[in-house]
Amino acid sequence: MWAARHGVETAAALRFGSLARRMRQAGAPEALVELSARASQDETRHASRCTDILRMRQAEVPPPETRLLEYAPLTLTPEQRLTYEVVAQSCVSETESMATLVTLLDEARDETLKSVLHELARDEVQHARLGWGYLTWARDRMDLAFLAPLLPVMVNGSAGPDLFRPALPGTDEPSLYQAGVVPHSERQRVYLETLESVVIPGMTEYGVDIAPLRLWMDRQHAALAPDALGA
Amino acid sequence: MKIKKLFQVLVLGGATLGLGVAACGGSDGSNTGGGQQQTLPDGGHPTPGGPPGW
Repeated sequence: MWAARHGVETAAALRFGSLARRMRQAGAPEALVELSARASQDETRHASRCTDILRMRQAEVPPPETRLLEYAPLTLTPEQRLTYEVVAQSCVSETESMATLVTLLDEARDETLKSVLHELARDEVQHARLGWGYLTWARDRMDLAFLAPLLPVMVNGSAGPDLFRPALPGTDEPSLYQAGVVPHSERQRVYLETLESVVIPGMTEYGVDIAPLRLWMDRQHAALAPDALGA
Repeated sequence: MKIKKLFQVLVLGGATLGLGVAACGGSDGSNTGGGQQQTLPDGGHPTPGGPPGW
């Protein structure tokens, strides 16, 4: 898990750097541009924290991500693509990461782990706020309605292919908390609760229709229901 | 902190940033060059989606 997080952090460092440049070109407030540039540095530092933890556990440190990965559909306009990337990164991915960190901080006992989680959470708050702040600026300049049918695509990509599949052996043990990992079934719950409590009211605040996202969530809830009934 | 409180902290807390209110601290703007442009093994564009989180 920490090896995967190392990849997430190094990829995010490149993405935030790119977003800072693109936001500046788009004329976004300097506060947002600076925040994105600083987020890029934060993510590089976070990757080094992941490296520290991997080395402490004598685990292999993967090579950093070197590709600038972008996810927006090519059919969108340049302004829409920038908005898509900011929303996917900050309003979805970083917002969900904050929920994960909050969950881990409630459970962590090891002082070293708690210290790392606190450091990451302090930064991730700003990384998530960046997206919501960007929408405040963007909504007066463009119609954000185009985001509605794309939100399920974003949250599905952010969740990854395995989150709403049955837990693999050893991935749903409560003891994982002490390794800085949220057990699988709790990850599913936290992900959906964060969409319900933060992303949906946030998007509603910005006038984005959340009906398509609700349909996606309903499908995930339905897929999880048999497990819940059998528990 | 409860997850529900994140709406206030992140969404409402972030809204002021978009109004041009200065962020705390500064930045040397490093890493804003965008790195390498995306080059997937097949030379194509990634499937629309979103970046993974924690």
